Amino acid sequence: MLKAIFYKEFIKSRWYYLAASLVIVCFSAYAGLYLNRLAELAGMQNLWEYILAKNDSLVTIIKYVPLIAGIGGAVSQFAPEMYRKCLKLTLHLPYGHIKLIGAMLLFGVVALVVPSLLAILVLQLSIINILPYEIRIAILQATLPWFMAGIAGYLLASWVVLQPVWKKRIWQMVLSAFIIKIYFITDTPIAYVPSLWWIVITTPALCLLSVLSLNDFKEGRQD
Amino acid sequence: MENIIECINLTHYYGKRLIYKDLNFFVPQGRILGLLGKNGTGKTTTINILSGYLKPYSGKCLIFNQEANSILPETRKKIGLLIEGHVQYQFMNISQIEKFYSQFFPGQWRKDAYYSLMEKLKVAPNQKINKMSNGQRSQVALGLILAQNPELLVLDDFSLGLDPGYRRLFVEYLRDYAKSENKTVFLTSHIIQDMEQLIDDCIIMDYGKILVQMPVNDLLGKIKKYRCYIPEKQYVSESIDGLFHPEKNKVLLEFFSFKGEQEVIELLKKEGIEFTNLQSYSVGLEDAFIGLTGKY
Amino acid sequence: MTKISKIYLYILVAVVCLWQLPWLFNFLTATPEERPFILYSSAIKDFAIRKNESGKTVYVDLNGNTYSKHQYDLLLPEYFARQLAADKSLPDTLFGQPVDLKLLTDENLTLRIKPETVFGPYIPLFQMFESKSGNVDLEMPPDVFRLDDTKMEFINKADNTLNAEKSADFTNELKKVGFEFPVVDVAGNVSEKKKYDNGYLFTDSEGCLFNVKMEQGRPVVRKIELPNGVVPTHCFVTEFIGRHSLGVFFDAAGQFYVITQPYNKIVKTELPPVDLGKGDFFVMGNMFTWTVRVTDEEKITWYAIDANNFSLLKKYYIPLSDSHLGGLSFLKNGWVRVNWK
Repeated sequence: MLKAIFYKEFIKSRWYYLAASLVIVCFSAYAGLYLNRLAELAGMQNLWEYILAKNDSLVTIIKYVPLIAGIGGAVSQFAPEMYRKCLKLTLHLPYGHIKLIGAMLLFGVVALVVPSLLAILVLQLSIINILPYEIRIAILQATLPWFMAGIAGYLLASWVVLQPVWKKRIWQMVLSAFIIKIYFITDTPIAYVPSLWWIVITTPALCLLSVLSLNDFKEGRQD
Repeated sequence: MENIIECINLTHYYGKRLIYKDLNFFVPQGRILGLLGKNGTGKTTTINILSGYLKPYSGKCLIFNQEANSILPETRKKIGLLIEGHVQYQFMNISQIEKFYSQFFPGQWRKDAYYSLMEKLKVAPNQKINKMSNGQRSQVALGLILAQNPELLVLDDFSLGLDPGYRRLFVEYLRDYAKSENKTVFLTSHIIQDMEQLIDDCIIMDYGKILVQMPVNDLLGKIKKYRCYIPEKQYVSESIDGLFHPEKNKVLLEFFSFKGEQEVIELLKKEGIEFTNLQSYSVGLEDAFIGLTGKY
Repeated sequence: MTKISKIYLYILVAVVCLWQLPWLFNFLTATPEERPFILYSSAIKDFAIRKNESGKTVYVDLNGNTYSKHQYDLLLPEYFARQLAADKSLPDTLFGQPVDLKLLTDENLTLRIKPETVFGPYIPLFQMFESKSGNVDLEMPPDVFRLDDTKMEFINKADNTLNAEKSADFTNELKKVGFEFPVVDVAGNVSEKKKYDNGYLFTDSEGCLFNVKMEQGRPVVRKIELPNGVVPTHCFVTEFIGRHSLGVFFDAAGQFYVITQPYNKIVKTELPPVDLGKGDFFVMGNMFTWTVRVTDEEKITWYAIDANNFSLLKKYYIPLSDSHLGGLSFLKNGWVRVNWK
């Protein structure tokens, strides 16, 4: 049955996730290409000195891409469910409601994690020859919160889209915006290192919120 | 006979607006019950409570002896649900949607029932549901319910958006299926004339209450339309106990009643109404519905 | 599951409120806070204060004397030597010592240590300048170095390759002088604009202090003798034009020390212990005295210390307004972490 739910999510949002994956990977590849071009045009020496002096990862172009992709993912999966209350059909399936919503969210998370990992790999491989290990790790640590923001954006947007009451949707959006802000406090590489574990633990837990929207839907709450 | 659906003291409000209070009804196994009522009397509210998507203000609704809002997944297998407007996953085509649903009903899924109906539709297997007409969509939704082969069917306003041909097709398929397999059906529709050929029992709702709950045959056997002539200046109260919606048009008085002709004559005399030429007529379900609920 | 979800939502709401509401309150209620500019004047043996009073700049001392702008410049001839020279009122001796414009300006120094420069995130790659190139101007090094648990490694910037020979030279030289890997603290200034290069200060795993330089491509490592029981925790290479010091450091208790030149002698200053994590540490010095400004959450304190023996001459502080509402913060010293401020 899990396979069937994945199948439905696949049919529904495969084109979106394919496009989003391409965008994520392309932006990452562009960031890698940009660093390579800088190394060629300005010289590796200047590139290293700039990064070390300014503590700048130089890859901020990809900063909001995973977040936007995540929010779009939630809309692509859950807006069709909310259209004419199609979610009633889903919840009527002979499968536990928590498992159902969990499986749908799992599909989205996997659909975002896979291109994110690919993007990280592409970026890291593209700079392996031009930057030393320490700078490569710093760039990785700078980009990780942004990719985690993609997952958070997805789970929070799912919570918002699944909410049937507009008034509640608005305050959920406000709260979500503040939560997302935590992932963008600073661009400084390495700055997030003490918090990465917290982010890795608390971000997936945001899926719990969708249960609350689901309860409101099941209780028939409306504006 | 076992009751498949039992609604006990159901009360619901939207905000401060009372929809109904202490509604009680039950649907025995193997019966087709139609919930009839004018717009806003709470038909969709009842269906929503029944299918677990609305928490009633008070009272409870049991399906297969389980509370409607916490039906176990295994029990949901026995319930076929048709949402208002024949909504189905718009992003799927007819073969994808069959493939999807079939995986949830191993052992009970009847693929042939679905595809035999789909053959009549003349749509390509890869045509998406959102590109279909209302009528075609209704057949997909019906086909999926027939393939699921549930013991109870809950259908919310199945006639919405359907032209007469598709309505007839839908009714015939449903009736054959339910009767040949002893299935229980609970449905609403705003087009009453279809119901007459389909339902065994009916519940007619008025604002806030149930007017009538009985087998359709009993209803049509008992209810009569009366017509008589009265002086033009004769006053007729709008609420005479036992007469439904008396309507005066100059010298012509029309009303409905479950009472026999003799009883009606006595009632009119008691009310002080001078009348002549009282005649009674048998009516169809639609007239009976309008007679009981009024035109307005 | 609903219960857990609700608890998680309440936690999130609480976190956002504790974070954003105090911030909003502080943002809306913040008022401009006038902070005076204070330097120690050897002429009056008191702090000379420049501050703003109802839109006007006034010059006073702690005893309540008021000065004109020119009188103020004369109170601090070491700092305002250029202005005094332009006014043709620069004295030719100060406290019995002959001075001129060049000497005074060359002896001036500033040192600013912010919490984020000590505790903030940085990429652990460093750059060793050539200290004795023979050229007047410094050039950015062609390589960076890293320090791991057992060795020092140089990586060429041009092609991202290891310079094995140079790495081995420096590692061997460090070990020869008694350096015990891994390194605990690394301090140095990466700027080609500095006037000369004093190399790096390394603290090793035993708490010993080393000055590491490169002279004509060769490693030069000197162990700096520390007074008994003194373990540097935060070191800073000074590279002041006057060349009277190699660097400064703080020990674990926050005690401030100066490594004086030319013999790398450690002098403990009479400054009370300082917590570098709490705020700015700022030194403005001249050939006679240093004015040290220490800022923390509650107050700003100015200390005057003797530039030769680092004894405490005078102290003054002003409290900071405490109308700040405490709340959650996610940024501390450049790191993203949860803290209360």
